[in-house]
Amino acid sequence: MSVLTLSFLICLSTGEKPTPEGTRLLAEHCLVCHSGEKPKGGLDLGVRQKALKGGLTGPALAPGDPKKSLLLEMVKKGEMPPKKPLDANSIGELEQWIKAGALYSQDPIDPFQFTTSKRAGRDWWSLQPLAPPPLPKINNRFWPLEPLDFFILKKLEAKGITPSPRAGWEKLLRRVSLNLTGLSPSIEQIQAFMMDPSPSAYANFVDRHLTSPQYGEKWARHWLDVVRYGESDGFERNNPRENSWPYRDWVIEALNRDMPYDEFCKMQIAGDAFRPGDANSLRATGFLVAGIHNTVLGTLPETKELARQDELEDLIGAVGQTFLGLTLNCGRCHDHKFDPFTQHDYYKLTATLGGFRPGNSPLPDPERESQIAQIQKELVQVELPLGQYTMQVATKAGLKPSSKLPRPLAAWDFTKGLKDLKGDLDISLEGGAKLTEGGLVLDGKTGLARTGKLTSPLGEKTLEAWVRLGSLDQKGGGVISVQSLDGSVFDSLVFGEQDAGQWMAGSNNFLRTKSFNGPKEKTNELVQVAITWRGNGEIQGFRNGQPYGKEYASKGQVVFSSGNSLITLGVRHFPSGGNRMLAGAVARARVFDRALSGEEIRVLYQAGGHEIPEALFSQFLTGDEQASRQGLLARQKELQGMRGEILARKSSVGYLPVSSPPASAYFLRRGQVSDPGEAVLPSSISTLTMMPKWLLDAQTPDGKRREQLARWITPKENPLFARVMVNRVWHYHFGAGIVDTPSDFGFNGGKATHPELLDYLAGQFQEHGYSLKWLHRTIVMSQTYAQASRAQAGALVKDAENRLLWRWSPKRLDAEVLRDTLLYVSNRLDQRMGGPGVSDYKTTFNNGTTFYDPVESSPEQTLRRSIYRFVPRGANPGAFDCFDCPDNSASAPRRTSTTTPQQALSLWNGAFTLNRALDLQQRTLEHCRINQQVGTAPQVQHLFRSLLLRKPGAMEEQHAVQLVETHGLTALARALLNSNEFLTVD
Amino acid sequence: MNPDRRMILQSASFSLAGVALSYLNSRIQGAPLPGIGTGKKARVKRIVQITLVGGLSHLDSFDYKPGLRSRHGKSFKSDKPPDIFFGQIGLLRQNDWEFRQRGKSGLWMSELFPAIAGLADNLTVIRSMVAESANHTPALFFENSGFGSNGFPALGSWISHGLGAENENLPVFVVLPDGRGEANGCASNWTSGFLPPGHQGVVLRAGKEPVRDLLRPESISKESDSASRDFLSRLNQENLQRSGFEKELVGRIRAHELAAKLQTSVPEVSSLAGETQETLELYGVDKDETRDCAQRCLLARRLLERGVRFVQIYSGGPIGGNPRSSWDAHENVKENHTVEAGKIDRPVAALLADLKRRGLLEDTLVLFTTEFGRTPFAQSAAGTVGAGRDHNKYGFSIWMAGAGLKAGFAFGQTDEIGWKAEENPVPWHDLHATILHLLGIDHEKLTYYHNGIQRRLTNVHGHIVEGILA
Repeated sequence: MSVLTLSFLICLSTGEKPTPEGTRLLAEHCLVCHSGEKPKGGLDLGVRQKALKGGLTGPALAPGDPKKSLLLEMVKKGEMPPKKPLDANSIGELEQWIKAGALYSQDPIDPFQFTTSKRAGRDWWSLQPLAPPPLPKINNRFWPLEPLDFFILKKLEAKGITPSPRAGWEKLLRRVSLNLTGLSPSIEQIQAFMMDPSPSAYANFVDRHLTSPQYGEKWARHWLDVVRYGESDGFERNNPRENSWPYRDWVIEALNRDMPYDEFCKMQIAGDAFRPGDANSLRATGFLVAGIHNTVLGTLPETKELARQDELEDLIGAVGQTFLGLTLNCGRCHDHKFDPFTQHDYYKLTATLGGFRPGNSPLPDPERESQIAQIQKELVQVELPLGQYTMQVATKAGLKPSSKLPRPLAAWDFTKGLKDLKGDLDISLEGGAKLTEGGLVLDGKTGLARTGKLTSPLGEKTLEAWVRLGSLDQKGGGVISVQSLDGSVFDSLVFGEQDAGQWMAGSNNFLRTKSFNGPKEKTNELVQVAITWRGNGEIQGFRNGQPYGKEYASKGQVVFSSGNSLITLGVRHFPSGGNRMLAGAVARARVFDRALSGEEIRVLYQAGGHEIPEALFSQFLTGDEQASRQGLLARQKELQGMRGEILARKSSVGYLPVSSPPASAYFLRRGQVSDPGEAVLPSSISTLTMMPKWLLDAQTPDGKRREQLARWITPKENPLFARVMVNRVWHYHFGAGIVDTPSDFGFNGGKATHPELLDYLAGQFQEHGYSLKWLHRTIVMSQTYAQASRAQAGALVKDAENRLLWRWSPKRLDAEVLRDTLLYVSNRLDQRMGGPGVSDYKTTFNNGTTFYDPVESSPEQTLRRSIYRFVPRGANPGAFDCFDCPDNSASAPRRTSTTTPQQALSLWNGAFTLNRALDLQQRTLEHCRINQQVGTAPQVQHLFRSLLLRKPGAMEEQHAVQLVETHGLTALARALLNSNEFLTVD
Repeated sequence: MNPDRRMILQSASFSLAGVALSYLNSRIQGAPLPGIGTGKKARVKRIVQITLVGGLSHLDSFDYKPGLRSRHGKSFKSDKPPDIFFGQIGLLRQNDWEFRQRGKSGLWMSELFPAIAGLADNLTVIRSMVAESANHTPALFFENSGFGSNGFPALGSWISHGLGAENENLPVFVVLPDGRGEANGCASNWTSGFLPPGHQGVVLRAGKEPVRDLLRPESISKESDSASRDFLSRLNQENLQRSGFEKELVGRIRAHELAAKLQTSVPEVSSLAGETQETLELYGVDKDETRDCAQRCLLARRLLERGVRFVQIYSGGPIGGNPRSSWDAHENVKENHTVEAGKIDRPVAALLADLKRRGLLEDTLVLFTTEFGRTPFAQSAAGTVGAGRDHNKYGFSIWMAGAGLKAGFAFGQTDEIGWKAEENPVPWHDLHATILHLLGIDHEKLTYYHNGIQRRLTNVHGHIVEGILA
């Protein structure tokens, strides 16, 4: 600012007013070579005084005397600028400027001030304040329905293009439904619309979709594309991230609540600082760690620093592109080549954003805690009388258990049998496992025991076993484990894995494993061992009722989901074999769905691990007592299930930024970690001149730095913030944005087709409190949106790409929309929301690295919306990935849309489609049976209506009936599911 | 900005079905992108790359260092800590294999690859490679994509993007992973990144169905399948007319036709049944030790013959483990490299010889690469000569063979002990630029817009290694 003021003063003193033309010409054509520390030929044109002094060949400018100005001479001869001489017009301007005194309108010239033919300056269109224009004048005043239609029509009229007629209702409803919720409308929804006599029937239809929870699930997918959300680390180990989904759920919930977009941004950049202690806002910061992260870095500090700087580049790119449409990552090694963003600006951002590392962090949630506490309270009330019954029976039977015995989820006495004495997790044996009087005998090679699938999720837990070791030098056998069905995720009570002779808590990739540093086991006698896993990640071991070694904190607990997990004995985790197998005997074992206290484990030890056989209860209790006890047991199970469900849906841990103490950031010359310059403080960047400047001191904690940045990005004065988001939403509705590079509003980005419309919408978006649902509504209620898709010859010639929107551009369903809609129309979509992802990958842990291969046929529990699918990086592609799913290692603000033979194969032969065809057959037959419709024709009609939302034509019906009668309904369903009509939003 | 030509074509619409078809064909068949050429005739039409995962010791294979032998057991001096991996610096260790000069060219090669050494006069060895990273996965990513992290398009994907398909009935870019598992990073090594996903490497698997969902499921009869297909095609035709001959719809109809062709062409190319006994033995399909690599090398030849542009054969699975299943000889170079070389020496030599006798080497490029080399000092406690070597990014060797190259030729040099490239260092970007050059592509012109930047395989680097060109 001081520079500008100074030059202003200079003008005043000379009484002449410098025109910007000459300065602009110098900036545009000369300064690339003739400025900076080592200007070419010693001539620095960036500063007037130096230009007058000149370089090796003498003074360049003679103010007022163009003929004596060497610069003009060189330019006129075409020698300068080399390769690209100036046009006559520019030369004329230059001459005039020199004649008028060669005054600089800015001195020294800031090379980022002006846009040139090679780069954008601070005067670049997208960096200017919003200028919402009035509605333009148009001829056909009857066409527009929404203000935005005026802008579209204006351009069409100017081009002499007539907009397309409105699409038929079925088409329009399908379009709106697919675009807002990612699901095709059901027959019932269409009927409800047809029956709605109100003039606002369409508006009602739109509102029903905007308020449905499926809206958030659809639009969260778009957002996750932009923020490069993936659920594994990438790089060498590519470990799965089991706790990143709370961020995904937050995005869905925030969109469904229509959280104002400025808040949506603030929470993701600094939710922890804006609302300390609020788990909801904490989850939002998952944005900051959604990218790749290298966990294998060797020993050299420089290598580690390089990886760190790579990660910061990725993060700065994500923040800049997502919220500002600026590729700020390009400033790491040099000033941005195309946009007014300096390398110093870049390092200011590393100082602002570099204060955390990714990690698993607790998510304190008072609501969850109080719900759990409520359940625990009732559990105690249920367990008290249950304990009394146990006492009563024990006394009568002459046994002496303590009344303080905690209630297990499952318990087995292998000296008696394989039955679960508490629940329904009965045991079956595999390989060389035998049942003897001494208990379950395991051979250390192939023998193992396993239960069926868990029926409630297991997070916090205790595993307890009474075990006699076969040998004291075995390494790594699992006594009792809980694991995912494929064994890729597990917690296990292990003997002697990393620490020979010690008891340990084994886990996948050692993610939750540390040494207890307990004493080495010395006996082959029966010992009680137990491990407790707490919700906050603390893990503690016990032996014979006493704490074993030292407890430790792990990165956080894993919740083993119901239906996808089981308990095993004798093996650390699947697959069996190798050093995972235990040699020894297990007499008794128990699983608890909470972390027991040391006292409880001591009591268990004293009681000797015996459970009272169910038969004794029938023998010693009266009928009434038995009935009351059964009721209590049922309630106990219910409460345990509720608790499990809460733990599974509302994670107590998230993969989130973990703040480090404030540290200095340094400017890195040419981006080299080996060449650091001065320390840099967190501060504002120079790109947006209308935004206030700020500077924080070195002691400012991480969260406060990010909070300041978020406060700078989100105000209404920042024109990029609203423009970029309005354009994103537009892009997803119409298939192309007003600017067709949604994350790049810089020099290399696309040009706005309707700049006035962009500003109008951005302004209105702000007026409407940054409400995304308002934005959706105005778009889908518009006349522009409702146009038919059929191409018109005349318009095609004038605007083949339909950038002016004279029709609806037909587009293929996105991979996720296709998969979800296939499930939905075949009545198989599991619409439960939230929680840990469902994996349709086979996860293999091969020598330190995790590999992901798609399973051929999707298991039942994975038939949820695609947004809940586990999304690792570098996985081998599954059935729908070929439908243009982007590589989630990098941000994908727009997906490519390709048509390939692999897509055709996948949809034609893939198990997923075939299973849906079978489902559709069943569903159709059932529909016809219930409605007492006889014959093939009604079946055909029903299938057409369900999938294509229309009746078959007469010929179509005839052919379809013939197909069904020869090859069955699945043959027809398969064809319809593959048809262009089904695959296209038109 | 210069948006991708094909993206424009994809979003464009045409009023006449005929126009649409002709544009569409050019997209699916993938005529070369205009404006990417070097202006010179392409010397190479197709490439096979053998990628050694884990880091081949150049000191024990292609880079003869008498100076290292004479300094065996001496200490290694460095002014600052070298960027290796484990950081243990033992004493200098001599080569474990004897070297001698080979063929007419007199190229120095060790006994590690006896069969390949027999073809020395065909090889162009670069002894002065340098890598950006001494860390496996970033280094492998650099080798494959010119960038050190996940998400950037692989060389094969760039070639697919630039040149399109020679044979539209087969994928352009095929990957054949080691039977022991995929390398770290898995599909990130052959990702199309931000290029359209159709350009990513296709992994051909062993067994009846080399490509996912290739064949008609057994539960569906042939008659039912074709009846459904007929019905679908009628439905699509009517829909096409109603749409006003929408280009994308034509594309999908065509994709179905191509898919049907793939169903015969892929199993045909994947089956080795038609190969003679002599050929099978030449590659080593008959021996347990070499079978996995032999089958893949033979498959590679069949793919190349049929117009696949880029085949990548991996030697080595994941990095970790004991014993190792890659070239990552931290513990014992002699043991590890003996096993690994035993698996691939014969098959790779056979591939080279087979390509040559069939005349394919005239316009095929063979690449034999590794992400980095190994240290001249042992990876062991200070003052000892251990049996293993750590990662060396400062200097290592690769070789190439085939069209457009000086054969029986070695380029570049490392220092006396083989630690750092001294003469003509060649970073990956230069090798990539050279490979594209041989294909007739100017590496600065093969670009794709992504988030603000016209991305290139060579980032902002890349010089053609003129010294190896014939």
